[in-house]
Amino acid sequence: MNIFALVLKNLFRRKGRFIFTLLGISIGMASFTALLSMGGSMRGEVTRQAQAMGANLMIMPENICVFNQIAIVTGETISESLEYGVFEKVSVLEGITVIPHLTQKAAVKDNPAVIGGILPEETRLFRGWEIADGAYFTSQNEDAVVIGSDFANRNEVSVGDEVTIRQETLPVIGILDPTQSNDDGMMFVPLTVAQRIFQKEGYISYMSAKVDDMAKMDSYIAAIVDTANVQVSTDEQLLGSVLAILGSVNITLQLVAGVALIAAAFGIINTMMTAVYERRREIGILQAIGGKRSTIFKIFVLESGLYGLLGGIIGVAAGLLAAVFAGEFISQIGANDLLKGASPEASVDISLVLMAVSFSLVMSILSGLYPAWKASGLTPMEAISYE
Amino acid sequence: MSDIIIRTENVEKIYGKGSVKTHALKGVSLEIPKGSFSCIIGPSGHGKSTLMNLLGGLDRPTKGSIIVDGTDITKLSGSALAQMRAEKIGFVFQFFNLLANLTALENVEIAMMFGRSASGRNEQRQKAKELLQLVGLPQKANAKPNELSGGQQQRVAIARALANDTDILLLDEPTGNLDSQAEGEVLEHIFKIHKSGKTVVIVTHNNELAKKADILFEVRDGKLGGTN
Repeated sequence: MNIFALVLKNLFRRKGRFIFTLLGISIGMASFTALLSMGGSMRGEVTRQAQAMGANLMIMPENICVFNQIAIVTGETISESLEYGVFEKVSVLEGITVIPHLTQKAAVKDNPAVIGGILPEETRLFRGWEIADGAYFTSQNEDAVVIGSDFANRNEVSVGDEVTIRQETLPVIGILDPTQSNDDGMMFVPLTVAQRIFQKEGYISYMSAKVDDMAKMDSYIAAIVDTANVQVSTDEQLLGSVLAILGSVNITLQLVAGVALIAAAFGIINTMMTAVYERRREIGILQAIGGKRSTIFKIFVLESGLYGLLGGIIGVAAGLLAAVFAGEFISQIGANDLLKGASPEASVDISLVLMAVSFSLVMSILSGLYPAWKASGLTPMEAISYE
Repeated sequence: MSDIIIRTENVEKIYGKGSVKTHALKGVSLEIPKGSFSCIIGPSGHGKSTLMNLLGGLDRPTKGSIIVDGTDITKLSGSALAQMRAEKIGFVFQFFNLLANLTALENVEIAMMFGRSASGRNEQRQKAKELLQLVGLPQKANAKPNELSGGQQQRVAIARALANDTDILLLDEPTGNLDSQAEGEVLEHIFKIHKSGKTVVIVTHNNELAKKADILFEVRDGKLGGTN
């Protein structure tokens, strides 16, 4: 017999209480881990998508709100627009290659889809697209659709099929090679076709630009701003502001999960305090046969620590599963590809797992300190005389 | 039997504080030789168990000193006192005080956790089996306390008290909660243990048992009323 064996026997003697206390910790840790994991996935996904855009500058409507900035990074539609003439002015500036985007949302095959209006050849060169199947647009106003690889797989669309966008039926002429960007989940039509279908003649959503000399970035931005009333951000600035918002959202969510964890910690304290009162006589017996205060203290701290360790492992596993399934669910219902990175591979971050389990362990040990101190503070006589 | 293994000098124990005080022991001085069989008798509530708890280091006197095997245990720290209990004294209580969620064998083994006589798990297990054999309960090794009769539980408690090979065995009314048949069985084991060389001190109301004691202490109104 050793302390650890005794602690295990103590833990399992009241199975109902053990399970309910464990559930409290597990649920707290699961919500904490799920939110942390989803936050990490979102962060990773936004970074990846921003990098995949391949642009140095984003030219957006003036005073664009941060939600629209997030939408640009994640390939969603934005509520504001620029006149096409602005693109024409910027496109003639020296040292800058610029392409326009008109992003709109529509139901396609009963699923929400983001449709990008593009200048076909300019965009293909800018993005480095390759065709995986079929063909690419042959003119600037061809009534046809080219789709991203994810979109094709998700909606089971093949070359030769027809899709209907806002009551206009167009043939699918090509499928792009995977790009690992949000382009993979979109449909593309020539800009003029998109402007016609969505009644946005003369308008675009935003522009992406590449510069020839990164050292002259400030002068390029100044030249663009002088040309038109637009807001210009470097890709790093845009990513930074989007990540800052995501960070705030994450912290808020984690605070909510933190409340669940605090409740779980009090659950442990409550369980351990009850155990101390119930087992006063047992504490006295252990003292009578030679158990030191430090031994009694260790027994109770180990018990609460084991709650934390087991609850942490179960909670983290459940949280990661929840992050994966919630990610898929959110992605499906919201047409929000932000969370498509929440695959098991993306979510199971070993450092996150270790950090969460350690946190649960430390929290539980801290929760057990007061009950353990109370238990070890009993004198043998007062403990053994307890009825 | 001339070596003194337990000696008390003018021991007093007062319970309570302020105006409500109970003077449980009033200047008790006694000597218990090594290897002796002693009984402490007296009316209920006159301080027998208090004296026993002080001798066993479960409680501290208000005044006076208690020397166990040459050490004044009143001056020991809580930790040292616990170590002393583990290594020098085996305790048997009237109400057995076994741990309910452990088997008979584990109840004996657990005492070895605190002593030095057996450290390895196999060694502990082997010794616990031998002790259960000694008290006639080898077949009950895996029984929980609630599956044992009162007499059997007390025999397990005796085996536990012997687990660390302590020289002193203190028994507080060990048969007070048993029927006459179980009482006989338990006493038989106690006599056997005494004959093996242990110092045995028993608090009892049993006059027949008291007559067999080498030394008889009578506690009355917190004082030693007579010593034979």
